[in-house]
Amino acid sequence: MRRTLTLGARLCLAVRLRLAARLSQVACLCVAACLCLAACGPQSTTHHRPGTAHDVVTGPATPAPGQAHAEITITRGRVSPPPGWLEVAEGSPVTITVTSDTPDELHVHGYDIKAGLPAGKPVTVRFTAGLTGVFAVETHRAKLVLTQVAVR
Amino acid sequence: MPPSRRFAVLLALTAGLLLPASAAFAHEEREVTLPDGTGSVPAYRTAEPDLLVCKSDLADFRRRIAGFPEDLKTRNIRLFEKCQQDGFRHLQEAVDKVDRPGMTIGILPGLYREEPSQAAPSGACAALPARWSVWGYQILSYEQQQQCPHNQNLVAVLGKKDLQIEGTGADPLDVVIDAEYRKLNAIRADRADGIYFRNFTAQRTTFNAVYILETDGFVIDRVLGRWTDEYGFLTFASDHGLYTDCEAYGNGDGGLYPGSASNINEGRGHDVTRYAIEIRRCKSHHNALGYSGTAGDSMYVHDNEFYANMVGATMDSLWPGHPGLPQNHARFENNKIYDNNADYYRYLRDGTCRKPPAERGYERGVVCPQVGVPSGTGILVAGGNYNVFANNEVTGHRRAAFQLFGVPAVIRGEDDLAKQADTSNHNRYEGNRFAGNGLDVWWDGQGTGNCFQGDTGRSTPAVLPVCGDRAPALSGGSSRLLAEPVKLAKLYLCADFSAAEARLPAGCDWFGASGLGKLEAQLALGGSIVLGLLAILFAARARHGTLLNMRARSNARTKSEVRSRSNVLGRPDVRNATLGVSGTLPDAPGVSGAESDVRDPTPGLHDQAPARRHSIILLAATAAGLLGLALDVVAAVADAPVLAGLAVLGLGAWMLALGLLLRRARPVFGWFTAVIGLLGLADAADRLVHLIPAIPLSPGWIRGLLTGIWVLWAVVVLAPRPSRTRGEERHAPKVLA
Repeated sequence: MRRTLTLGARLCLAVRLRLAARLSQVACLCVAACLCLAACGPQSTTHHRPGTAHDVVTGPATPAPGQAHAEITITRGRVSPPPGWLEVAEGSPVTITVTSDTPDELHVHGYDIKAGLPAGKPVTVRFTAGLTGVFAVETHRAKLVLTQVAVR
Repeated sequence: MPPSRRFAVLLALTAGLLLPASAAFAHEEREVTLPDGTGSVPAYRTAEPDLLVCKSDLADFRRRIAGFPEDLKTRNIRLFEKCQQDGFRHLQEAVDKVDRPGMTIGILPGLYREEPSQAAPSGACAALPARWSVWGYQILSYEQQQQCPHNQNLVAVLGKKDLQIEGTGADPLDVVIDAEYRKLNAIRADRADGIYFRNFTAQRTTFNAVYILETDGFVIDRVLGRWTDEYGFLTFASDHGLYTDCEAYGNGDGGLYPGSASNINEGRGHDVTRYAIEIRRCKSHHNALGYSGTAGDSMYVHDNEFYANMVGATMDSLWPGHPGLPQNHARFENNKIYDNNADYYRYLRDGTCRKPPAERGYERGVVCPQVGVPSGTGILVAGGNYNVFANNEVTGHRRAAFQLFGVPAVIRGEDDLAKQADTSNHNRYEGNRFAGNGLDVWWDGQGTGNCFQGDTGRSTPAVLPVCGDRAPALSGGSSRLLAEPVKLAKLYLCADFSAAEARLPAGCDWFGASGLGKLEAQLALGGSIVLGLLAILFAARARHGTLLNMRARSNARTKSEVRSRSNVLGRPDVRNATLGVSGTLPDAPGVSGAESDVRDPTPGLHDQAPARRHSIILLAATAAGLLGLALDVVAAVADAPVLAGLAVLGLGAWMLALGLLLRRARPVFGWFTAVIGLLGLADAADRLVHLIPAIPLSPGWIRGLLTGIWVLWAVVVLAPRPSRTRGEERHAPKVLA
């Protein structure tokens, strides 16, 4: 009986050792895989590749003929998007829609177009870009520059 | 180097190697030399300009100045008339006429497209023998810049001394220098000591709006820099600089980037004699970063507004090739840093940023972020020393007001072991006003001598070192060489960001992962499931008494005849031959296993009371552990550091109880379990009560590593196997026979 028990104990020990060894192997493999991934994985590159940025010439930002449009929101004295730049081909129609959270007056400089801005209601001004140059679109009361219209 | 230090450095290096090597440079430039510091900040000169630049369309000019105050209008009309006689139509022409130090160029209101400079390089300039950077432009020497000034620059100011260039309009928008994305830089001032830029706008470039390089003495005054791939203002390897009343928006990296300012305070601790560059009263908004400071050394940044960026300000030691690393000695004071919660990564996701810059729509609010950062952060320090953040108003950040973590030197290309833990150390956060931030502080726990103000609100870790009255005094400080393990794993994952490939690592909440999608939550969930199953199995085995008792087994060998007799009597002796909660639990001397059988063949009279007690203890501990594991997941999902501390507390209590209960049955495993439990309690104390001083790694590291081993061991312990009891039971009839 003692002999039988000893064999049983050995068997038991062998099973456990094998299981432990297998688990250890799995663990080692996992660690090795992680290290390999860390060492051989894709390298981080944070910047654009050639052809999409830092290229010497990427093409002129010339205005295309056709309607130019901007949508601007004023909230708590902040312009969104921040004061922009609207490229317009001479003779093209321009529409600018402004929504302000406080009453104000819109002014397109150069063209001298003015429009009231009631609080919370979008207002759209339309004009044809007959004059060339860069013209600021501002609010008179808050003295905010909303965008610049560059007519070429 | 002492052995402990060597070991710690090795650990730091290992962690560093695990981080993906980043791109070679934050930006690539020729080899530069920091100025010798003998220059000075130039003063603004009010005398009439020596050279004038204007356009020739009088009607357009009159429209532009129509709204000016009368005296300014009169002056501009006078200057316009003079300019028509002897002025220039392009800024570069005037710059080329500068022939002595101290001259001033006046630019009259107008749009300056600099048509003669626009053309692509041709002839010898198209074939310069210079290396191409991976970003598609050549790394030109200073001499090559002189030879071909418009290969990369719309306007090049090379080697001119004490030159002042100013717009004569009412505000910066009246004079616009527009590169139309044709050049890297709208204006480059290179080795131009004493340059003074004032009152104009520079815009639409594929690198910087204004770039100042290797210059001792410069001022950027009332200048607007917008719509670039990288920086509104980049001043690099320069000294005696001043940014004042400037504005930057729509830039894909930093609105303001005072990189590699002269490293004049290295080795001086908090004793600063002067700052290399001062930035004041500027507004930087709607950029990826309001302020970027790779090697932004010796900076004095005060009374600015940084808002509506992804991150208000960063300073770091992440990029090789920048003189003055690791970053040190930036002082931020009295700034308003608020609502930096923009998420411009959507433009990477939807393909907008794959278009050429001219087609991306920067002018309509698009920003193409070049950097992977935790949007929703006020100020981020990614490897920096001796920075001070005092009396700033930091509000409205959905993630954190301040983030601080260390960066091993190997990331910036230095493999000297002694340098691996040289950031982030000795940074101080004092007297800032917080409101409406997700967390006031997110710190990875790494570094020496860092401290925070006593009234800091929610933070991770929940307890922080507190700054004393005067630097470097602090209390509750720690000195850790590595970040907390989960935070390090997160930083590692998030560092895999790539703008070029629009790769936004899934699982990193910087890029939108939330809830169980976050790496932290997944790690917590995975760990909790494994440990939870083990906890339940241990409890079940103990309850059913099937966990092998080594002592009982030993006794069984010597008392086998008695056992046999018991079996003959027909009593199932499984409980007596095994450990669980019955028979041989610790703290039940003399009641264990077979011995009790010998003394009392009637089971349970001696051992049932302590067994029940132990059963209750283990069940309670298991419940605490399971609660802790559940809390851990909730804490990770909800970014709740206090809950995380409580979770570790519950987990520690369970493992300690389990270990103590197991220690007689399986002494080595039991004690090992108890030690991990104790480490859990220490970890919880470290998170909730007080940072444990003088240990190079947080208890979480040791606990985590040992828990990994413990899980494997526990599986082995719990694995089904033939039991002696069954063997005995099987053989019992033979004895009878």
